[in-house]
Amino acid sequence: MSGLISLIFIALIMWYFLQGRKKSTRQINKKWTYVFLATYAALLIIATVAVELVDTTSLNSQPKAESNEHLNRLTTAIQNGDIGSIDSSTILSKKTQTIGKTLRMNAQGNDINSTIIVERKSENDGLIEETIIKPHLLLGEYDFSDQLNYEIPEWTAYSITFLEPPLTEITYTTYQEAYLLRQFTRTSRQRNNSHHTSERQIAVHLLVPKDLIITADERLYINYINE
Amino acid sequence: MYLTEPLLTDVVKKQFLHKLKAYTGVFNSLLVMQLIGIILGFGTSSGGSSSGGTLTVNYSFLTGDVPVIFTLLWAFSMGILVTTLAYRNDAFSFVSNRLSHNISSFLFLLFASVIAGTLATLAGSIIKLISSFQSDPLFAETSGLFSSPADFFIMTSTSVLYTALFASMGYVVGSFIQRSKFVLPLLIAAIFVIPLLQLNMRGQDLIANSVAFFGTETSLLLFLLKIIVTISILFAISIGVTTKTEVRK
Repeated sequence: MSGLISLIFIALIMWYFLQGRKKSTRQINKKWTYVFLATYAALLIIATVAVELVDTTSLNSQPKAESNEHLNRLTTAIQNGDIGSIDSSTILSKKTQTIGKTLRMNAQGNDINSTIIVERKSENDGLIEETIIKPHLLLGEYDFSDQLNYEIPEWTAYSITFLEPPLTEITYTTYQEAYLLRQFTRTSRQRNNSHHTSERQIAVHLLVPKDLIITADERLYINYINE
Repeated sequence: MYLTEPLLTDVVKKQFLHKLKAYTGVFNSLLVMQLIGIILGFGTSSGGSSSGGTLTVNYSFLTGDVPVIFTLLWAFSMGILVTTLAYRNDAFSFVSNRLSHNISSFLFLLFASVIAGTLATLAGSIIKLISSFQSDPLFAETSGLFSSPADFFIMTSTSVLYTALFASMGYVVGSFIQRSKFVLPLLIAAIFVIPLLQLNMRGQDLIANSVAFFGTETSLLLFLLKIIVTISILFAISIGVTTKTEVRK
């Protein structure tokens, strides 16, 4: 229906122009026509230059998303507890926590999406080594990880509490040049307006003593390595 | 036999310069069409919102398609317009013949296409610029004048070539319409009927093939060649159609 309305609208515009020649009252002074045209062209050129200046400061400041291969490698490393292979820039924090014989893992809130990996040591040294891996958020081709809110787990002597992250609201607009004009450019002609979202909250890797007794809230999804 | 035989090139040159001064309405309509295209370019953004857990994403997509599409429509209608009686009579203010009129009209259309095609490429900048001043972040996947000048000029060339193609198509259609008034209803009927018929040639869709002939070309040089050949053919057809028309008909 909207297509039909567009066609009628376009037909009306074309009819208007084709009729326009017959009615001399519609004719604008010829000199003014070229003044308008030159002004319009000047405005477009100014806009083109201005966009370039803005472009260098903010338009492309958002980092581009890493390749899927890179993300898959990271996910596999997290799930397998292979922390050593994870790039240090991806790690948010590392710390050691003294623990007794039991650990209670609590959940505060309903939307706790943290990835929790528990790996046992070969000894009972009374220490938990906690590694937190940064969250990631990819929207289409852009990396919004730095804008994703998260909460670091809270420790007590015998427990760790995972908190629901604060709300994150992201609004953005993308602009692409006309499809027809990108026929011979290096820019992909593929339309990228599929809104693909890839999100992972922080991943918490806990390297715990061999015989530590763990009790966990049922709202938490925990991956026990080698169990 | 005359004492002074005017050269075709001189006549064409005079007519072309005259048309630049006389056909200012063409540029008025270009301005209107592109401004409508720019305004609609803001209004036709797609997008949406997704929400899950503690994350909400609102997104929208803008493109420079609408000003370009409107420029092509303008080019087609202008092609038709310059063949109309009022425009043709203007041309015969000089000593001229049908051939010089056709050549000068074609040159005028090519000149107008260069201006329109260039402006169509630049028109997207307005959409980009205004969007960049809005509160939401804007991510532009574009070929800028300074960041990628080669791509920018390729885009401008592509725009000019497509505009010239559409103007030529309009000109040949206009020539047929001037030849016989029955052509117009036939043409309108054809526009709606041909896509429904799905005309096939050796099992291939004719319209899809015609679009693909230009649209899937990956070499700019080959594309340029295709456009030049097509425009030349259309020009030859226009001359053939209008040759037998009376001078002031």
